[in-house]
Amino acid sequence: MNSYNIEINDLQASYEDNIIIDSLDLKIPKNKVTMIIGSNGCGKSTLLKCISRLLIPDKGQISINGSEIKKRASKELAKTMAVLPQSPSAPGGLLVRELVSYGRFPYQKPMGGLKKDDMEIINRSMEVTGIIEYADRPLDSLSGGQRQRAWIAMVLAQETEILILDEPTTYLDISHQLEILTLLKELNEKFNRTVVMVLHELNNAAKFADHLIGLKSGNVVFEGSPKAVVNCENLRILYGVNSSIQLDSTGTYPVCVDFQLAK
Amino acid sequence: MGRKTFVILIITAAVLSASIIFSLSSGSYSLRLDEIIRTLIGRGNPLSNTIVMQLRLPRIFIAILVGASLSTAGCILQSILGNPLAEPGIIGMNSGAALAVVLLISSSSSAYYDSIGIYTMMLLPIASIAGSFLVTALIYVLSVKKGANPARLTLTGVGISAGINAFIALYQLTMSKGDYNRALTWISGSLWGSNWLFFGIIAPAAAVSIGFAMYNSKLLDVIRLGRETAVGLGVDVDKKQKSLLGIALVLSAASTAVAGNISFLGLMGPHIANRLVGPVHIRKIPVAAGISSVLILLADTASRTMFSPLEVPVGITVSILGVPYFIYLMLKEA
Repeated sequence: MNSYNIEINDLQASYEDNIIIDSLDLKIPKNKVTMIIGSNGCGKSTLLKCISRLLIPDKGQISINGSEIKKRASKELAKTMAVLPQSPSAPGGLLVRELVSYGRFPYQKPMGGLKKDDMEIINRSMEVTGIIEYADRPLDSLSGGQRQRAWIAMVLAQETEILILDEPTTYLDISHQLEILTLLKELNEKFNRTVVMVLHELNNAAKFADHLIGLKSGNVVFEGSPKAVVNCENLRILYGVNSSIQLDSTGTYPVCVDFQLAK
Repeated sequence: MGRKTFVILIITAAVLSASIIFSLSSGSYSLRLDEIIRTLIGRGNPLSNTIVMQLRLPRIFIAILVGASLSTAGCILQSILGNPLAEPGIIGMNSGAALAVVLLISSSSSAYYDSIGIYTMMLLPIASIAGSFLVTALIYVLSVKKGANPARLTLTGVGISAGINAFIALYQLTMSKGDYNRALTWISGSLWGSNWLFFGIIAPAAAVSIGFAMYNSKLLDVIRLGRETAVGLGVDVDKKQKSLLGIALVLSAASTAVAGNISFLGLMGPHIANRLVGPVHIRKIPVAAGISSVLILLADTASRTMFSPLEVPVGITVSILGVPYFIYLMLKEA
């Protein structure tokens, strides 16, 4: 059995004439929470866009479960991998239940309605994400954290092995950030989903990730478990800061208690 | 279908029927309900027969088709462009149709509508669709860089349409007074001179296109969530965007061919429907079509009766209704 869900070989990606990623090789492990960190413009969002087919790479291969994504039908791939963009938008007045039901789109025929199975999956997704009580409310009447959970319920209803999220905690306050990350961790542990996300907040990444990837100028600077890779040297390379790092009280993950700009 | 949607659909249908009866009865020769019914079941006198069967009924049917087509085109464009203010008139789709028809009217230099030959009349929708297609293709090509960016598409459309309208105005200056008036009436949007042949020409195009839009309603729902989300849900957005744009184009060109430029109809129906039944297309498209049909029907009835025997082009009446609503929307969205 292959222990990687996503394999990237010699990837080059660019916007217009700006090469963001030049020759990147990367493997993303199966059934783990992988987080990609790095400073602004390091190519982490570009990498996610290539994996989720929003951006067509200039060259290189991206394979999901061993088969190359450009050779697979969009709808088929959407049954293996779900993608939540950074700030998704929905039309005003859309109900939470309706939004979540769109997660069943890859499985539906054009005129076919939702079957009993679909309904069950939609309800279960809303239960797991804790928004079932808001099912019949318009999405725009929810708070930021609830809304983000509704979106996560939508990608969950896609029933995919892999979940890809681009900064799922942006614009959320600290308690909602923790709530979302705990939920994603739970999805990984209880439902064996491979979760891949880009995250800005280093301490959250260190706390919740199984596997951390540090990206700088489109290259992997370090990868591994948070305990193994979050150290002064690596953070200086990645962000250009001097940091003081401790382990949390249980000794399971590193915490950066202070930062200074490296001179 | 939810009970609320069902009730709203029934109400919309009832209001539409009432509008049809109102429109059938009013005019320079007004008819009572019993006269209308007698005529419809084939027991009318020659006068009421001509008025109902040859003049008002085809005009009403065309108004409904135009209302439904423009509204559906509006629903499609608002979703694929992710812009709540998009509609065929605003993004420049109609300007190409307008240009083609103005060229055709002036080149055939015969009387407007009823005495132009049947071939010219058959040519009208074809020219209109061709013109609309060329201009939309131009807008699309100019705004595509690695996939069509909706904002760029909209802005390019606005720009191109301003240019084409200037060209139309320039062309009109060189026209004879009679041709100028004909072209102006047409550009302002008018249902004057509607007949069954026109209806026969646009009905199939409108029916097939609206059917296609309904068939793709789920796709429209998902595309409305934005390119990134739609791709994640397995939609080949660039390809689907093109075919949906094509449908919106046929709908708007077919209506432009028979009714000229009518703005705001593609905006008002979908927005009111959105408030009534929400943004899910399978409910929104039919309700929006019904509302737009009612609006154009009432506007047209007012257009031909208010200053009788003079007729105000219905496009102007719709705009008078539409502008305040448009401004209201802008204020509310902001």
